[in-house]
Amino acid sequence: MTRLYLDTDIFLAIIKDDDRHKKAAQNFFQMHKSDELITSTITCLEIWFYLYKQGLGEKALDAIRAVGTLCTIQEVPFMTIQEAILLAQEIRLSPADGVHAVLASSVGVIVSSDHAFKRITGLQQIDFSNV
Amino acid sequence: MQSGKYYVCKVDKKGRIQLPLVVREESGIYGEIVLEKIKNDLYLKPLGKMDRPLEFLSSINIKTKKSIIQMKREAEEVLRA
Repeated sequence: MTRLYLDTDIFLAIIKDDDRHKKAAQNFFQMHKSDELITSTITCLEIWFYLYKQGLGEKALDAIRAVGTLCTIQEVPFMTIQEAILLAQEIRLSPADGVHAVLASSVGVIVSSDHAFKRITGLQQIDFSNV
Repeated sequence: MQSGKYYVCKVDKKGRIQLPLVVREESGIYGEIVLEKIKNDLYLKPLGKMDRPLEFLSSINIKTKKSIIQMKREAEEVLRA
């Protein structure tokens, strides 16, 4: 069983009406049913914030419950936030991406279409949009 | 006007309540619930099973011309607003 850390973008591709990566994102979950898929509370926050910004806050609880059904949700410890701040400053990541990068580094692999993670040494990236 | 149904349940020393089977079945209470407190009244709401998570997420169907990476950045902007 392979452990994979999922960035928020794969969920946004599915949530979006007609994203060009929507099918690829859905297929990814079908293809990796036997793998351990991990994401974090920062992903849940980003999904909630995005839905809230779109006036769809009432969908947020079920949306993050769906994410929690598909993946193991990792909590974000205080130590991780400190490491994320340092990493984000060093290679100019957004705060949320800094947290994703630190958590994904402990897993070894990040599933994301975001090129920002290519700057992180030792972190393997799987771009679900190219699979 | 129809009356509600009432059930008297005991709360044990650890704060646990056993809900009658008929209530769990009729209300679809499995796994997680929401306990809402309004003044001295408590309401239990079933959260329901998330049997088809991919289908649920797909059904949200947000209409935007932005890329998923732009959507991610937009989510973070909520904190700055």
